[in-house]
Amino acid sequence: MMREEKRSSRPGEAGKLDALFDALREECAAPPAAPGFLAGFRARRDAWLERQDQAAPWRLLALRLSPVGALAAGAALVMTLNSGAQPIASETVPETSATAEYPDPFVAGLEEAGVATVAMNDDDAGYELLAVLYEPMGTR
Amino acid sequence: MPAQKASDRESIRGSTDPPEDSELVLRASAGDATAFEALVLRYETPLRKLVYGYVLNWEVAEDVAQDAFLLAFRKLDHLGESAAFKSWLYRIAINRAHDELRRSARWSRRLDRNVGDEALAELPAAGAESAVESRLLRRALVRELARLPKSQRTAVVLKDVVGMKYVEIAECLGCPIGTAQIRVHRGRQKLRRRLGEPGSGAGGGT
Repeated sequence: MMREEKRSSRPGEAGKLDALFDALREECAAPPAAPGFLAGFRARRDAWLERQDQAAPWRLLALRLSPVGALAAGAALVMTLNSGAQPIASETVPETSATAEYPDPFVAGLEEAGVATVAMNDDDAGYELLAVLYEPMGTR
Repeated sequence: MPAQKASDRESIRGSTDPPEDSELVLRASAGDATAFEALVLRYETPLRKLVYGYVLNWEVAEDVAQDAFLLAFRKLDHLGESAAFKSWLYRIAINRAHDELRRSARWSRRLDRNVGDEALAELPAAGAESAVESRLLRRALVRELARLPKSQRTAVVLKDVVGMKYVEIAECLGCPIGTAQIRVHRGRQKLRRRLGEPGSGAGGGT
């Protein structure tokens, strides 16, 4: 900071501030033509619209899910991914049936959103969750 | 005006009586792409000038202005009162220009440290000294503008570089005219002090 202040305090720099402002105002008053401006804007807009189209299925899905359902689905997805990232040692995993019911709030959320009633297999939890989420887009 | 741009303008407007901003905004909100393009053509030059006041580079100003228009296009539904389109658009552009100014200021600081002879070698021999001086002063201005509080920076740029009237600045900032005048005054004082202008009590400070 001090170094900058020292540098900018060179005599002769700021004494011409008003002259610089005058010159800049003159430049501003006569901007160069920009014949490609509208075309440039159109290109940006179209690229953005294209990205929006590609993301549309996910937005539709988000609209279909009620807030509760969306929260529950999101929480379940995070939980699933976390459990996948940190595998528990096999000896600590209790023996359970192949199909385990997920906690009620999650199922209730999805049911409330009208997506599905699910009973998911622990081993394929992530994939099944995605399949459930994708299903409405493909079939409705 | 280039022929292509003139024909764009004609095809978009399609009549001799230009519609009000509010009408174009309503049409654009309803999905009429040409209505928004008419707004782009209407405000393209003022917006480029506005952004130029911050970045002092026409190419960058064009880029940032296009970006501001795109943001406005995306957020058009958020514009409550369509009559206020102009000041809303200006505020979007000002925010984008602030971001760009901060980047430019960082670049300027790096350039001050790293580039010397190379940059000077590109300058013409005749009048090289004044050209160098001018370039250094511009760079210093960009750097010091970036250090001003946002409200003062905006006021100084709009007044001293873009050349707006106080009433326009006040409209743009959404503040009383007196406030705009005070911000310009204080911003100028700080710039003069930091740039070491004689008689301004040089030496930096805030």
